[in-house]
Amino acid sequence: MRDADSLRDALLDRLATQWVTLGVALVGPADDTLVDLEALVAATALFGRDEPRVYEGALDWCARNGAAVNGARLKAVAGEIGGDPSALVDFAALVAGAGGPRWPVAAGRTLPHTSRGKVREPDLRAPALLAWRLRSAFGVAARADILVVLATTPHQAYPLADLARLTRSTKRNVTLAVRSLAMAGLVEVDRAGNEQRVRLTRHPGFRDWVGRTPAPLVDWTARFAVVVAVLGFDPGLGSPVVRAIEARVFVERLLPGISQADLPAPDTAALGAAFGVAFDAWRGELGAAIRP
Amino acid sequence: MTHPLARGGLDDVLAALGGVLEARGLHYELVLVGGASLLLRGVILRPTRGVDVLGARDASGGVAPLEELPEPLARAVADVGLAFGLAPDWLNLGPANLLDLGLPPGFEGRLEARRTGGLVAWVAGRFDLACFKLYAAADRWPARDRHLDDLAALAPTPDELHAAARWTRTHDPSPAFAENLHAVLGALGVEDPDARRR
Repeated sequence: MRDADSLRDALLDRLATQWVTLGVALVGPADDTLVDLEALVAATALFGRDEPRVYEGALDWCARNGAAVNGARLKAVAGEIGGDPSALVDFAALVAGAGGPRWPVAAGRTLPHTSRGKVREPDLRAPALLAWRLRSAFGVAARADILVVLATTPHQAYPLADLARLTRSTKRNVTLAVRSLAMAGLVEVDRAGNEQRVRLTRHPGFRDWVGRTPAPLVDWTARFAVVVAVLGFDPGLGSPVVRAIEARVFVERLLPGISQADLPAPDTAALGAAFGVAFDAWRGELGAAIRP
Repeated sequence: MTHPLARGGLDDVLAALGGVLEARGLHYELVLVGGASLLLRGVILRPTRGVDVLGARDASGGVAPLEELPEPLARAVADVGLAFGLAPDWLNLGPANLLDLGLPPGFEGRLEARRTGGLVAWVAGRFDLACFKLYAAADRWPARDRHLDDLAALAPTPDELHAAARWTRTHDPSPAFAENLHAVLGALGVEDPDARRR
């Protein structure tokens, strides 16, 4: 089983590009996919220490702009991504210590940290920053996250349960938010049998204001969750066939997450020791899919 | 789609199971009967659907019954099955009534060990396999299926068949079974000595 470093590097590169997109002063390109703030924070907390400039830049950004991060959603997203929960606690404590918001995940802890302030104000009209822009306009709550989903797929109607799943919010919060948005004329609600389906308003005014949206929509929470799981996977000691078996079992559990993340899946038709080769090849494909 | 097990494949999956058990810090000693035993002894070449476990070999050398496979073993079996395209229960408990009604005398002494990693597979002896196949063939007579073919492949001597026949009657003393047994022995070209005494 190889390529652990390659996958880790791909993840760090992706994290760096997303922080660049948010305005952190790092050398490198910006991301053109939609930045999920909570997924980015959670993944950076887990792996950012491997790249100190990224970790420090992330802390600087959170100290300055952390109010744009949904503390409750951060906890939910971090739980889905997995990994060592103490990493996020430490990160949140450092953000609080630098004068940033006190997210619930910090559990009241603060750790001293001096922000270097190497963060510039980006233009929130960039497609990748749509989530931050909508939160700036509509508040850090389910309303903005629902509009992100609808605005990036304007011709699609969603059941409330799907919106809850996609936004990582509760169905109750989504229901209340949809009611407000419908009253404001920003969304339309159709009834199909017993089910409500929500779509973006067909009025062009809001769509013009949103402007260009990132395409395609990437579920970074789901993708980071797969990467974290793979980086944390240890096939153990044993012959190649034993390690291939443990890898096969691991992949079987991960398949739903791989599908949700719209990532390539390993060749599960490869049997016995051959799956070890297929697994290694897949790690390379995974890195290529994550790398910017 | 699941795959049947031919000899090479059977060796591979048992070795894989032994390796997985060892890697997980587990150790099991299982007594095998059925088609897998015939394959491992080189008696037949036809693939088998799975591996039948009679029971666990206990510390005294006897065969202890198993109500079900221990969970860690069942999980390892399922994991190996997943990796090799086999059914999750490719190794499972076989006919428990063999233990209930008694094994052929000296069964334990004729077991042969195949050790791999955390697994010791005790393969039933040739004579014992002949006993089981004779019973199955007579039980299914007049159907001439794989049990009769396997019995022929074991090539038991007439004396071995006579001894096997006496054992099968301890499992089923009914006249109908005796008639079938007589027919099976006849199909193998062996006279049933006990039929003359009836």
